[in-house]
Amino acid sequence: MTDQNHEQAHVQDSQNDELDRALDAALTKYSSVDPRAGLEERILANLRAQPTAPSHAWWKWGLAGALAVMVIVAMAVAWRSGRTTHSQLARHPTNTEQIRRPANPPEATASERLLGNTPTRATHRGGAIAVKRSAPRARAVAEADPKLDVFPSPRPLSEEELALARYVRNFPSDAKLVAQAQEASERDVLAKMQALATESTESN
Amino acid sequence: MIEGQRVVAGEAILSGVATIERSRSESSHDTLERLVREHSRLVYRIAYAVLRSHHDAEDSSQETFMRVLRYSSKLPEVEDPKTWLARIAWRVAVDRSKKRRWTREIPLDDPAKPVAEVASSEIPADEAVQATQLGVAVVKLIAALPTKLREPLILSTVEEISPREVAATLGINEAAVRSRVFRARQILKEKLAQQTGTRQVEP
Repeated sequence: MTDQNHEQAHVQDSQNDELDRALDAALTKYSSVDPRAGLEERILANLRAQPTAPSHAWWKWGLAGALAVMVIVAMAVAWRSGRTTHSQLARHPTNTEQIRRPANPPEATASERLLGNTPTRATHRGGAIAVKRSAPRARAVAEADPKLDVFPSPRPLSEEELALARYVRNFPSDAKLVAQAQEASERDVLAKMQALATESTESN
Repeated sequence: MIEGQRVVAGEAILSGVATIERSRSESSHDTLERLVREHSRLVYRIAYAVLRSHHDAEDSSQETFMRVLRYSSKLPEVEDPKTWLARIAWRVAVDRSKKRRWTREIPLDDPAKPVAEVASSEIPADEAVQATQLGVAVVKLIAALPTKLREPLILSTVEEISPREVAATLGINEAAVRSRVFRARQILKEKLAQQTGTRQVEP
């Protein structure tokens, strides 16, 4: 029995050794290959064909990066300027009215001006309609000529005008009388001037 | 007189600097050439061990030395050029292997090689065929091993590399390399024994 065990162990050992040797041989062969003749020369020729000074490649990358940054900044500036133009147009809608204004009736009477009855964009229905009608055309003009956005620039009321407006607001009946008197005197002056003019033409 | 001496000294310094620069660039080129001459076979074998294709191994070797050229300014700082080169070759080959797996390329040139070996060898034909069959089986079994065990085993089959260099290439310690190679060999032996047993039972 022990002899059989010994024999089995011996057989196993010999099989194991055989397997080890076979495995060693197979692993030795696994990567013991030789390249085709002239590999060194091919590699060297390839290396010589490459452009020199590869360490300065960072310079090209730097240039490319700077260009990319410039393009991004330019795009951002263009975008922002586009936005401000639109916001300016939105903030100064009077521009369209100002373009339209020469076509409106030129003068309001002095009494109307003093009483605050001057037709404005907000209160005068006809003016509002006119602005509405002319809006696309005015926008087209404004887009065609961006200088119209700032010219003529809206002007605030002077101190005298403000004082006058305050007076009219506080004493509307007095203001009306003053305005009527002023209008009557203007009319008289105008009549006198016309009379003088006719006299002078007749005398000539 | 003193001015003249200064000018001569300045010219000497300038020419010295120019000579140093020239010799530096020349030495870099010479070092690269020496690396190619000394280690191209090692690089090729590492690539072949990973890729199992002569064509791919040659391409991988070319790419390895191209990378070395790219980092040639660091060559004077490299302490152990052989290990450094082996590491680059390993990485290039592994990358290429992954890419090939992604594109599902199948090497075609190697199946013919065992036949040529059998035909040209001096050992008896039946032994040669048996060895070839064993070799093919070992290649398949190695491919089936887990990566952790496969990588040190593959590198240790390259005869030019010591276990210390295998460890440096893979970034692990030498003891780990030895134990992993041992475990891999055990697995391969078990599988081979099973295959041999089944073959013996089959008839």
